[in-house]
Parts: sequence; C-alpha cells; structure tokens
Amino acid sequence: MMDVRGLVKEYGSTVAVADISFQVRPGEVVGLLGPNGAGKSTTLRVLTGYLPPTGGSVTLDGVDILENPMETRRRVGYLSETNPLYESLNVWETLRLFAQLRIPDKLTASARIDEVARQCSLVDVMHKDVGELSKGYRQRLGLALAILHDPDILILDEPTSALDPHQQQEVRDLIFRLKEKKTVLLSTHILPEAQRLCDRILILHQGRIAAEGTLDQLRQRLSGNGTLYVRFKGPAEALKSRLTAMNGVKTVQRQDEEEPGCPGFELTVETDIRVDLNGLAAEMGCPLLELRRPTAALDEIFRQVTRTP
Amino acid sequence: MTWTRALWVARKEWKETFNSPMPYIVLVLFFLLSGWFFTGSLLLEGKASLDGFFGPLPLILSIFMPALTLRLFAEEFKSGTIEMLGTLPLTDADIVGGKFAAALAVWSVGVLLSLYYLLLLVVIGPPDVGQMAAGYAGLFFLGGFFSSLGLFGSSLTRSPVVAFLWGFLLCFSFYLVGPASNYVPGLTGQILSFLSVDRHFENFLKGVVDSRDVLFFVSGTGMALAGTWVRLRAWRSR
Repeated sequence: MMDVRGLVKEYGSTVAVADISFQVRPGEVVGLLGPNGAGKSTTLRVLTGYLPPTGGSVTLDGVDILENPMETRRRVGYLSETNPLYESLNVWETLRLFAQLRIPDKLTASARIDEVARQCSLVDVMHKDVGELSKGYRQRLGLALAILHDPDILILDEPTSALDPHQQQEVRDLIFRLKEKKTVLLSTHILPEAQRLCDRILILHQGRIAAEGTLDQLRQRLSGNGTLYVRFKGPAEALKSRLTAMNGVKTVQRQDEEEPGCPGFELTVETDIRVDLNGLAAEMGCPLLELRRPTAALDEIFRQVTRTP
Repeated sequence: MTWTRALWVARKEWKETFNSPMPYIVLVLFFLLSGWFFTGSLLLEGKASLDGFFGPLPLILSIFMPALTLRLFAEEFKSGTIEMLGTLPLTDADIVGGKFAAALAVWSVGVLLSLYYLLLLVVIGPPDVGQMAAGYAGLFFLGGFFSSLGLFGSSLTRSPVVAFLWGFLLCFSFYLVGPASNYVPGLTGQILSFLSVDRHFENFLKGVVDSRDVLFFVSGTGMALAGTWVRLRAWRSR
C-alpha cells in the first residue's frame, strides 16, 4: 500500500503541492484529476522518488521511499507525461537496454521483452528507430518500459494526452488490461478516461485535494445527500401538495413531465423519507415510477471543485 | 556508486554516442590535426619521438573533449530523458560515474588509434619506450581531466551548444593559465602555473611520472565530477 502523508513540494516560493494525504491500496486504480498546474505531475514525480519532497512522507508497504529510493524504483513503473525516449535507439535496443538494468537474469529478461512487446503490440516495430515511431507507438513503448520489470505499482502521468482518439482508446484498453494485475495511480484531465478506468478519484486543485472518493461518492457529495428525484403516475397538483405536506420534506420542485400523466419532482429532504414515499404512492393509488438521487456528471463535479473563487 | 549500475549507464552512453555522427567527426578531425603535428615533427626535425603528437594535445583536447562530452547531460535535460533516468534504480553517482566512464571509453578509442604513430616509430627507429609510456599515461590523465570538465560543462545547461562552450571555456582556462603565468609575478603567478595543465603534462612528456602531477589531474577530475553530481541534484530540486 502506498501511504502519502502531509506531502508538500515547493519550488522556491511557489507551492506546487500543499499538504496532501491519501492512500493507494493494492489492486486499486486511483485517478489524479485536476486542471493544468494543479500539482498532479509534481505529486507523481515525488511518488516515483525522482523529486525530493519539501515536507511530509511517502511510504510503500511501510518503507519510506526517501530512505529507500532504490527499493521504490524497483517496485514502481513510471510513464512520465512527456514520455521522453532515447531517439537514436530502436525499440528492441531500448527494451533490451532497460531489461539489462531491471532484470538481472538474461533468460527472464529476454522472455519478458517478448511478453511486453506482445502486450503493448510492439512486435511489428521492434527494429524501428524510436525517433521514427508515431505518437501512439511511442506511448506504447513508454508503457512497455514502465511494466517491463513487472512492478507492483504503475504511475502513469497523463498516459493518453496528445494522442488521437483511436490511439487514446488503444492505450486505455492496455491500461484496462493491466489494472487486473497492478496497483495503478494515473493522472489525467480526460474525464471519461477516469470514469472508465478508476476505482477512486482524487481531484487536485491549487496543490490541495479538493475532493476524493469513488465516482458515486463524489456525485453524492456534490449533488447533496439531501436531494431526491421522484416520479409518480398520477395527478401532478395533488401529488405536489401531499409531498409538500410530508414530514422531513423542505422543498418540492416540479420537474419536466417526461411522459404525460407521470410528473417528476425534485425534493429537498431533511430525513430519509424513501419508505414514506412508497407509503404515499400506495395511499394515493399513484404508482411510484422512479426514485433516485440526482447525479452530477464527472465533468460537472470537476468544474465545481476546481472553480477558482 | 555501484559498478554494475554505472557500467549500465556507460553502455547506454556508448551506444548512443556511436549511433550519432559526432564521435566519428571528432575522431577524424583529431587525427587529421594530430597527424599533421606528428608528421611535421617526424619529417622536419627527424626525431623518432611522439613529441610532435603529444605537445599540442592540451590545446587540441580543450576543443575536442568538450565536443565529445557536450551531449552527455545537456541532451538528457533538453529531451527530458533525465526524468526517466532518475526513476530507474540508479543513484546520481551511478549516472555521473557511468557517463564519465563512457567519455573515457570514447577517448580511449582515440588513444588506441594513436598507437598507429607508435608503430610507425618502432619501424623507423628505436623510440624511447619509457618516455612514450609516460606520455601515454599523461594523455590518459589529461583526457580524464578534460572529460570531467566537459561533463561538468554539460551539466550546466540544457543546450548542447552552450555545453560545448562551457566545456571549452573550462578546459581552455586550465590551458591558458600556463602561458599567462609567465607574465604574472609572485604568488599569483605560482598559483596560475600550478593550475596549468600544460605544465603538469610536460613532465609526463619528459618521461617523468611525478606524484604531484598525478595528484593534480586526479583531484581536478574528482572535483569536476563532484561538481557535476551537485549540479545533477540541483537540477532535480529545481
């Protein structure tokens, strides 16, 4: 488990990351979301051991990454945002070079190169110079290098940025396959990507965690626990007056009628009245067609929590 | 620093260096120039010695060594690969040591090729083997010192051109202080003379391997490498 506590990173007088704490549990895929300059890349660079933090601590299964940087680098696979590669080498040379450092046993290294080349669909370009690769292939090579040593934790900084939609989909599919076996921490500002890939989301804003939780939790939090959407089959006015009179209901707002004779209402409530609503439906002979908490889309959540005052 | 890890860095640099045209151009130019001085000395003075080859080397190498080392850090900073390197299981000392070893290895190719001059001398007449061995030892120390200065120059910037200029400025300064010391009296003159690579290299050419000269080159190389290590750490913390 990766445990980040009170992490601070300052560049001179600029605070890039201001006291953030979170955990990434084994097998979890956590998405780091935030606008440009929110501190995502800096946070990830600290977690890989590349940047020393100004304050706070990061432990990996209880081992401090600052005290044991080599251990961290062995257990973590990292794909940086810019995905820099050695242009003068070809794909095979690049994979072999990194395998020589990462995997001591030559036979294992060779087998692993074949495996990641297949996994990342690099087999057809193995003898092509890195400088001649398309962006999609470069990204696949970056991912192949990140997973070459079979790390426990994958840290991916905007893995699909600057790719066309087809290439984005290919890389997402690859990450989707990897998430079955790895703990993944990825940063992105492509919200559907986070929605599809992540078990949990952290939204960073101005170096702080502005919101954290599963997508459902974030939706609930921002939609408010005290809001319900309800739709009955029956007379709108009679239903509205009975709803207004119910205990625990603060406000009732009529919504658009999607089907004739089936009015919808948004209720602001103080207590859990879901059972009472069933009772009301039975009492009035108006079947309850729909009952849910209204949900905010991830982009709406993102806009709300990263709004600069 | 762990040797196996530093060796990995050196291997990477070696591969990258020889995948680019730079070392071939530098080595060919080096041989054109040093060959000119060697044959000049051989034919005009009729001496079966390597003095003509060794003599101008401090000046020649102050240009050629920065050309061989200019990309070692500047290119990593410019392309961002330093971040990838910094997240591999390597310490900063492994990276600096490996890059220095690669620069020395490339320089060794030049030194090995220069054995051609030695073979010519063996055929022409009986050369002074002791003097030449000392000269080659001096060449090794001089190459190492200038490599480390070039490496330090490369760690100061993300532009390979500026890295070359830094390297040249540093190497040439250690050459220039020699002639300059002739015109500066007193302690300052003595200090400048002590800092002159030419003066220390000259002793090797006379066939004298003096521990003071060895210490000068070794400590100078060590300080330049330590400076490079400090620059690398500072680069990360920016």
